[in-house]
Amino acid sequence: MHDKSIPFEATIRWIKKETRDTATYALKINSREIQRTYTFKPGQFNMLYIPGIGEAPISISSSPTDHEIMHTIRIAGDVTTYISRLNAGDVIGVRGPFGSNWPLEEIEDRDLMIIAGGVGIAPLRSVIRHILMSGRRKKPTSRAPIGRKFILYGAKTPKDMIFRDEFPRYMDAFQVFLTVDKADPEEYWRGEVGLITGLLNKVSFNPLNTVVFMCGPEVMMQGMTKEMILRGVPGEKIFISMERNMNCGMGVCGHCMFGPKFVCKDGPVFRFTDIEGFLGIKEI
Amino acid sequence: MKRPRIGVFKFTSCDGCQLTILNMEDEILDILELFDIAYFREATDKPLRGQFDISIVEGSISTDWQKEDIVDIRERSRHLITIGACATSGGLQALRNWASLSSYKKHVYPSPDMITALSTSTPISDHVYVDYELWGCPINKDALSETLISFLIGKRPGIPRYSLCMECKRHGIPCILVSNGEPCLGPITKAGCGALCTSFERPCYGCFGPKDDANIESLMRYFHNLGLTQKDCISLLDKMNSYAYRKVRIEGSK
Amino acid sequence: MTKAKIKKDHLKLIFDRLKTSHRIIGPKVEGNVIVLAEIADLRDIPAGCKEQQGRGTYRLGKNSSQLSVASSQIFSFSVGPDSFKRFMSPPVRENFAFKKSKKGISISQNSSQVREISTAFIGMRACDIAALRLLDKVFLEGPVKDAGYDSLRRNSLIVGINCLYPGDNCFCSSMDTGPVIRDGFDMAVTELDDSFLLEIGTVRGREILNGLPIDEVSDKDLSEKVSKIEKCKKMIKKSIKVSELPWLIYRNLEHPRWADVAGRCLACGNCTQVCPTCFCNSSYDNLQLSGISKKLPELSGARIRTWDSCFSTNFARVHGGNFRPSRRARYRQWMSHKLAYWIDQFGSPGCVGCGRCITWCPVGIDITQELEALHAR
Repeated sequence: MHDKSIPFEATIRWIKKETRDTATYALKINSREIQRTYTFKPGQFNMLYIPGIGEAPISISSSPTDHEIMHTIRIAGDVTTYISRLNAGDVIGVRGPFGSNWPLEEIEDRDLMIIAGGVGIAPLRSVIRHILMSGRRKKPTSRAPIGRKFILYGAKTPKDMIFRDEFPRYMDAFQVFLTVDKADPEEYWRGEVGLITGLLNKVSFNPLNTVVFMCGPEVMMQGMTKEMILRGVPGEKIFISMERNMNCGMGVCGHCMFGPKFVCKDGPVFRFTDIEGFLGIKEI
Repeated sequence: MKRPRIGVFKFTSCDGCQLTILNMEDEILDILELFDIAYFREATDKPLRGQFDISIVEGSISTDWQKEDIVDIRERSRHLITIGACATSGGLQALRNWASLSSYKKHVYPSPDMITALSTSTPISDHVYVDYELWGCPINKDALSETLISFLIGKRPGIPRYSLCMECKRHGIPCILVSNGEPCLGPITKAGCGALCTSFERPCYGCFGPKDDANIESLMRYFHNLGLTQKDCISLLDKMNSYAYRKVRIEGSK
Repeated sequence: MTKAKIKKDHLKLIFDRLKTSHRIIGPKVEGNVIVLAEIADLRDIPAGCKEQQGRGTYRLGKNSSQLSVASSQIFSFSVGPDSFKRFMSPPVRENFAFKKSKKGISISQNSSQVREISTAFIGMRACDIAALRLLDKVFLEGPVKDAGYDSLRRNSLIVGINCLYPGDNCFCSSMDTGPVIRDGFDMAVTELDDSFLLEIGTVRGREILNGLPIDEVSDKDLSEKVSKIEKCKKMIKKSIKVSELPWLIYRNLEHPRWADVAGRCLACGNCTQVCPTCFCNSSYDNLQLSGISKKLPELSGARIRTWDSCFSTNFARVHGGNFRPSRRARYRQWMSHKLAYWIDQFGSPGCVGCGRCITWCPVGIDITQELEALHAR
């Protein structure tokens, strides 16, 4: 195992601009040795490091079966701003992977509903790609999930929609529902306008047989979870990915505490019922 | 890389913060290598000309023409940083804000009629937009170099905003407030000085200004219990950062 | 041999033995406070001193008469602001040094020499040893082992002292962490009337005694220890009802008392800095002007980790927002973490009842009172 307290070098292979403030970066680990020991599960994150600037926790947006490690990054702080100015070939530091993952074993024969808001789709793309790829495998041993699958995604405007070009491909395995807070009058948009909770009326699903993976702004996740539970989805089958200030990634700095949970090591993916007592409390 | 142009400006102040720059003996050559010091009256006689990438401003605004000058400097500057208690909170001279200018003039100057000044001394940020404020009387040189570096590489300066107590505890300095009953302003004052006074068993008198959301009222209640009068308490706060402490106190009571 | 006895004067022999191979950290007076620091001589230990600790006050003096400390007592004092934390997880430490060039990044870890020096801690109290075991859980039993802490911990030898005179803010008996040391020591010492009773915890603890003039331990000595400790327990004034934790806090996260304490709390962070189990820290890149190359982005510097506190305003800051802007929320976070969250995280409360946070709070906020106040509706 590589030492997760020390960053290793990774080279940016290519950059794909997603929206005006978000881009996907594909990384290749420089050291052969670490390449061999580095494995992650969908939902986990890396600490990306720019020497002199600092670190930022960024979820992995590629599938473990992809050749490169991908990060989809929105410009937010110093580190992400710096990264946004980098080019292919540049080297950054990486520590990881850290945290919990989306429980793929939960969905085997159930319906899966993926709910994302804004850049929250990034850690879920890891699951989406994983499912798409395992569906393609023809080996009898591959256990592709067999239930129905839905993606519900909301963004501010059509221009803020991340992976917009990839959604047609997602339709191979998923029913995709998109919405925006505000349609841009300049641009043709034939999807929904309004809150993501509104999309639920379009989806026909069996609540008792559904597993939910969710990531997005906390207010959205609270509203959505409430709605799902009202419709009968068991809280035990709702998984949400949280965001907090992370400094060490290993549960020793205390910055990311959310109630009794360390978001970096107990999360970022939590079973809703494990944290529901703390979700509504202000400034917890 | 083109070296960023720096201007160092002075308003009403004692020059001590500018001296901090000159006192950065180990770093001054690095500064000159990385930056173009284009205006700095204390060190060179280069005339004021052109635009600046960073303007470093010392001193408070206490006369009419200073009000115009600071606007001119702001217009010439991409970034404006204030240094020291005067520039960030009006300085010791802001004590006249709570007194009468004429009586102060009479006490200080032999011929007070020759003095034209505003009745107040105010921080730079009351007049123009300030990009970053460095506190302290005088400022800490490491904080200045951190700020300059941050400008160069494009990050927010990592200057502490927590209390001086945190710095004392890190250094293992025994707390004189708790162990001696000394009225120390450490718990409500920003860290950054390196726990200078307290390491000599002197109570902090708040030259780095109030820390974020300083609970001044609670500490004053405690001082009151130690036997300090209301007046003693106010005179503890009425030093070079009087303006800032009073401001935080009003905001805290809301 | 698990128990032995030495004459009071012979404590020096143990000290000298340790000194040949160890850096010795122990209680010592600095200013008007008993701190933990390197001690060169056994006489550095403030023998016979007794401090008065109140809410937000600490006054050091010679034996205060009201406590009727026996005049020959050496370890008559109680805990000061320092604990193991200062030495095992130092306030400032370097994670690594970095160098960034056009081509890449190079990271180097210079294994600090201090880590390799064996350190003997003498005069450590039951609460401190209990706190150290809590820090072990944080730094050693998580997903990634903290290598710095690990090597400092391995190179330490612990000589504990059973408290016979509690501090005024102590409540270890109710937290079940003291006053008697039960485990986690190399040697535990009880100061009897005319001798020291030594209990050996490890092989290393036993080796200290090799060749030293030791006596047999009699039943009378053991019963003297028990009665002295019972007496100490009776002198402890403060307490927390551990059986109510964590639920008393979980049920009262919106209690009006939090706003009340926010009116008094200075959010200065003193409680967290003196707490022997508060482990929160921040890492940042430290750059010097000399490390910046004219050919940016080439630069070099070091990544530094310092103690931090959940009371710092930007502790829970993320881009564009702060999860705990109010003092109310920050005090609640601290106390809830100590007395409730910790139980979920590590299996026991994060408080060992040493009372440091009560003594060193400049405005004397008392965690036992604040907890008690949550009962009020």
